[in-house]
Amino acid sequence: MNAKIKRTLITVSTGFAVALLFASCRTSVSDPPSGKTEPLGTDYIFREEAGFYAYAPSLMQTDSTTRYVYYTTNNEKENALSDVIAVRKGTLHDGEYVYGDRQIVLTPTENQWDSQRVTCPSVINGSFSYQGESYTVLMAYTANSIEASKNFQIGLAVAKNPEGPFIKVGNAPIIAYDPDISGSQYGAGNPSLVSFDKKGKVRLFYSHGDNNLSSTRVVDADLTNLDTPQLSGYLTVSYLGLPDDGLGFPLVANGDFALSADGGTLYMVKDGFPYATNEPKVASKLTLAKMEARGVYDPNGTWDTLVPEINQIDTFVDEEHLGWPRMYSACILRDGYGHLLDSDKLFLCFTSSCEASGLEDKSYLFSPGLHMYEASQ
Amino acid sequence: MHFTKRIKTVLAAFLTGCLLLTAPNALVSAQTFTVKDGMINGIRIEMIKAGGWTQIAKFPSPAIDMSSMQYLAIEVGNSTGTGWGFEVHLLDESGKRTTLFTGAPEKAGAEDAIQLYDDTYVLHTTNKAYYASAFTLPNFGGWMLIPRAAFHELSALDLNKIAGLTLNFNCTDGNKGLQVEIGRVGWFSEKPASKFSNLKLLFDPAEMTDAQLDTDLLLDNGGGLASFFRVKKNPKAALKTCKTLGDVRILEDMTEGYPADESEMNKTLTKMVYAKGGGVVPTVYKDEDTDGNALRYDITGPVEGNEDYYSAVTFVAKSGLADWRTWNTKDGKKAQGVTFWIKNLSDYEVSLGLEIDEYDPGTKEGDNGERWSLQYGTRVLLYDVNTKQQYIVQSQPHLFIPVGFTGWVRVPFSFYTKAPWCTWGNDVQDFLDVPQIAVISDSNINQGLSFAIDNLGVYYEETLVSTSLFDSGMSLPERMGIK
Repeated sequence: MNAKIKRTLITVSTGFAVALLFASCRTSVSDPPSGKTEPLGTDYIFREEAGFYAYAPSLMQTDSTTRYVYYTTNNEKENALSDVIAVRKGTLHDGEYVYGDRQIVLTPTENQWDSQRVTCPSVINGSFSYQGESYTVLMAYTANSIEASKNFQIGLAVAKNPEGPFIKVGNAPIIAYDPDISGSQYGAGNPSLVSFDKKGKVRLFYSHGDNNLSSTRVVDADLTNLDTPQLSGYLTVSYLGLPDDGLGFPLVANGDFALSADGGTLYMVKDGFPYATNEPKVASKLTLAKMEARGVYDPNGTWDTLVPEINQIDTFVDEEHLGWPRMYSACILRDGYGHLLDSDKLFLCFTSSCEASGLEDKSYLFSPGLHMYEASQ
Repeated sequence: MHFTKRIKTVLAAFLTGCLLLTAPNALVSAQTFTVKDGMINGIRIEMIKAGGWTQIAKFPSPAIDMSSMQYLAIEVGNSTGTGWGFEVHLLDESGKRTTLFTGAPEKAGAEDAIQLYDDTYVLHTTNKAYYASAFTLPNFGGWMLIPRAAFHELSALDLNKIAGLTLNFNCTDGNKGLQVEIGRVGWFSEKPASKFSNLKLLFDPAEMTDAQLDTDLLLDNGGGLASFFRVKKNPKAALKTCKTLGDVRILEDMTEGYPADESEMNKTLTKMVYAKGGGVVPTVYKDEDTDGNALRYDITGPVEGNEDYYSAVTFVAKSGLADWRTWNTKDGKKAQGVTFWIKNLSDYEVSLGLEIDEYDPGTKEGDNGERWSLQYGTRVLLYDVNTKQQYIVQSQPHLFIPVGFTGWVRVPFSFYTKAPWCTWGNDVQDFLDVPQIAVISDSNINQGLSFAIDNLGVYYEETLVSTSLFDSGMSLPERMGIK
């Protein structure tokens, strides 16, 4: 890379940001551009139509040539308050995955806890029963019932096929958030499911933000019988060993998790903090780390940071494509059970966005898209 | 040939250098020693008043060859609730002397750490010498092994001809109540063998007659500053130990040592409120979940005019409890953190902290305690006794107790940090002398909230969470034996 360009990029990427918003926390709606966003760095893995975004992916590879990417998009063109969950099937052709058309697989349910926004999915395979039926695919998703990016809760849905149809489990969240007790804040969202036994026992990681603290929590859950789910108490995921982000202690939020093939090592990709101070106020870098899987049960569990900062420089292509100024809401490419495909290679799928050039510039709103990134261990 | 008392006095004065010994009549003379119960068999020095130094000394004649000394070994006892220190000097025939280093800051490394073995010859703890003094532990009887490396400029001495050993006790106001028992004294030329069978004995006061104590040792009471007694090992002499629950040593159970009458106890609790903060009304609390009394902590909010918006209830060491102040080790296990029982009585999360004051080894009268507080991001283990759920919660910096929670909390010491305003102290969590702890809460953000707290203590085993999917075998209920 040209040294001058690199210096310029470093200057841009080291601007201080203090906002602690989660990636899905966008509320403003304005006049978006009608055209598609041109790539600023590494290319998209697929393109949404103009006026539609794609963010917060969950990517699983079920065989040597098939991947499914679940993500958040807007149901109505140029309406940022119409979040739904879509899936695209990717098939390997000539060394590259080609993704098919999007299918909306989960939408809000009127007059329920998830009546407004349905976002940020995480999907794994397993064996689950619900109301006398057997299912092989489980989705955890984020939703709320107000026109705001807060008071989120987490629900479950099941399917017999990766492309759906998905059936919501019950009419209550599996991870509830009560703003009357904890304050009208982010709530619980951004789930990341990891299978414990490739059947019905899972670890459910999720972001939690209340009046007191933003963090990531994990619960162990036996979801074999979804009519009577069993959940452990929550364990706040450790920040020890992660790079200092100047916020008192490193913030762990908006993360995705995966286990090594033997289950002994836990991997995490998370947003880097602090967030950008200009729109969109999301992360401009990612952090990749691993630790002994039992570390989540240990108050002194400590991460081994693999890559402290994956940022714009890492998505540089050429002098016409300097890289993405926003990189956030990433996931790890995993098998159907939330395990790594190959412990030597870690592939991430991250959300990109343009940034606003000024207070009036809203062109970034429908620019988010998805990209692959190979991280060296 | 024994030294005469006059010669012994002159020699002792020389030995102690700048220490001003009193006139010869200060020496204990031809007395009959009263026998008391103690932690070991030997002699005890009890301070009567402040005003100088007292000492116990032995002057071998002829001088002995200690050139191969690896450890000096002193059998020590302490029947009080406070650790006491004393100086240790070696003297060669030419009059050169050595004393102990003045502490960790001056000389880093483990090789000069003093080792304390219990009376079953099991290593109990290690410690540095501070202010050139070796420290006994409260309510402890055992052996103190001082390694060769702990002596200052030992090479300047002619170790082939050691002519004196003195143990010097400083009688100051800060040492009021000082009681130290000295038993067998000897040395090792190699690593101590099982049951210290290779000890080279210098003297054993328990085996000496009163006359021999008078003639073979120098017992200097500093002109009436202290008294000497014989002590006979008697476990009954030990102070009462704190209650234990599994790996937990309970220091405050809100029942033991408090008035039985509830109104009297409430008065007692009120006196424990940090006056500069206020903002809390402490009262007795009892319900089906409590073990006897608990402390109800009602946070009323900041008090106008007070300089501190933190409310605090302070617990000082209980008299009559042997191990309240010494947290460092228990049965050879190193303390891992603090623990307590708590019940959130509010419909909101309530936050609180637990502050620890400790005296560094060798702290003198007037010194302040070193303050340890929770750091931002403290990660805490919770076990709800009703739901049987375990949690790891994170603080900012105070601990957040979930709504509806009733159960036990463990706070690892690894998340304690020195309070930023505390500029003194040795920056080490010695926890050899903890005179007080305080339960604190931000009376601003917690105004109107309440919790009940009880059974404050220290835990000694590493603790992890167990769930239905992961059995750590090291969970809080397992550690406490309440699974």
